[in-house]
Amino acid sequence: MTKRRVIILLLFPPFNRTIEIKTYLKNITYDFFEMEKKGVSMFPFVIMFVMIAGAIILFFFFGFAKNIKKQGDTVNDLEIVNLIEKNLDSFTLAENSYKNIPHNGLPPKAEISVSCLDNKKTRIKLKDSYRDTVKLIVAPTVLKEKQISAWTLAWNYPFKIDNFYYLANNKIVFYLDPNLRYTEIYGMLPQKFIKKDIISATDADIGNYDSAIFIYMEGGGIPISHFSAFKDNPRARGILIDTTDSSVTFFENAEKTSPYWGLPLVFAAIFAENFQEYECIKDFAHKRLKVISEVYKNKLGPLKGGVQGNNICIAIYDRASELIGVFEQNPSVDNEAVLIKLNQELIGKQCPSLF
Amino acid sequence: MEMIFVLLTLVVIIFIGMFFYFSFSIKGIEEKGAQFIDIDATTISDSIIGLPELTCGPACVDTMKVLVFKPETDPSYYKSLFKDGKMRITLEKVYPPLTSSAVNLVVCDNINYYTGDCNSFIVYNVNKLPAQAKEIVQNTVSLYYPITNSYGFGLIKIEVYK
Repeated sequence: MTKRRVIILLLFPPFNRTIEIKTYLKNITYDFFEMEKKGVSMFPFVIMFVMIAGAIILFFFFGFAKNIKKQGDTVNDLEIVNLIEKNLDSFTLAENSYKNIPHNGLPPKAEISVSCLDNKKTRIKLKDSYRDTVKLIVAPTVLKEKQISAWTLAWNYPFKIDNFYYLANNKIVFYLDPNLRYTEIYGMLPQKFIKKDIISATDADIGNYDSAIFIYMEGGGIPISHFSAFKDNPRARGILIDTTDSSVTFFENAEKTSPYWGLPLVFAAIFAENFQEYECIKDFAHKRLKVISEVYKNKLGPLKGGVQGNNICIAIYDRASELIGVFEQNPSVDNEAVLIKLNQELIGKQCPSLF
Repeated sequence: MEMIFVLLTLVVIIFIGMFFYFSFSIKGIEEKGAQFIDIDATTISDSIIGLPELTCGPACVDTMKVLVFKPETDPSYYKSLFKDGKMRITLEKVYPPLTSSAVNLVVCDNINYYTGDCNSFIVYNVNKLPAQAKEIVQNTVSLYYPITNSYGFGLIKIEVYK
């Protein structure tokens, strides 16, 4: 009877029911001594005690170890995200540069995503680890390969505003209208990215690629109707570049058109995951453009101070202030051309140039 | 009964051992994590030279842009650009030398900039009180003077407070 009682007590401690822990331990110890007096072997009870205590300890340490592993994984993920950002940092001074990051490859199943947030920052993310940066970064899809191809292009419009960073890998293919071969767009897109001419219109074009970007040109050789064959494929994306009115059209559920301000933004449209991402990065870039324009506007004061008495220069600087204001609000190609002309005028009149 | 005590002692020893092992593991991870937020002054140095708000070309800083540079207009941007670091960034003119006989650094302003009686610019300063430990990185740069369309030579100094 006592043996059965001890087993029941060990397996189902009646805490919170009829007795407290203290009473339970007292009862069980008493029963043990009673059994020992009766000559009952203690061995099975010792084994049971060790097993229960061992299980509790093991359970505790498994949980602890699991937490440590999770923390370690987060640190490793952060290390990778940090490594990507550091590699992009090294591009800061470059005008047009390309590199593979990292050289030794990312760990398997590393899915890197890039997103633009609130028109003021971008986020490089790997699982739950991320890094927010003020760099203008775009990537067409989640990057799952072991290596990321990174390309940077300085945005000089007409003065240097910032650098754009474009990320892709060998699972992303760019299909271009063959007529784009004769434009800067084709020439500037690094050879290491997979570039193909649009010829056929079958799903085979997408194959095993994670993302296929079809780039059409207004008035080009391939009509945009070509993209209708892919419009239901989530891995395919089509954009139309119109160089006559400096705009890009995204072919998603509905056609969405947006302006671009210089080639780096055309590439931002090509590399952006969707229209929303492009709009976000474009607004972020516009903010940077306003900040840099303000720097040049503020520079006009000291410039005027340095040419005191030279009314010709002062008159041009006064005009510049107004034109920069217009350019800030509407950075169209025409307004950019006006600023370039104004700067040339300054140089022609022997005045210190603006940029 | 003795066996129980032996086993209990063994369990306690294992418990203490594992506790120390995991404590050190956590400490190691925390230290590794701290490295990520450590400011790399060399990277900051490159960032500042290439910053469109200041640059006039490769390794060139437009002194007039520095004069009008106001990081407080967009604090969150510059805070993020400089990795949330507490630092002081200054630009010191080495050549041409000062026109006056001043020995110490003279900070440039809207008046002495034109006369050439200054040789220092404060680019960024988020921690005015000197902290105990700091890392200092210096980089040489060309200094551009738009009024005279001439170039000088200077040092960009980044003092990172830990």
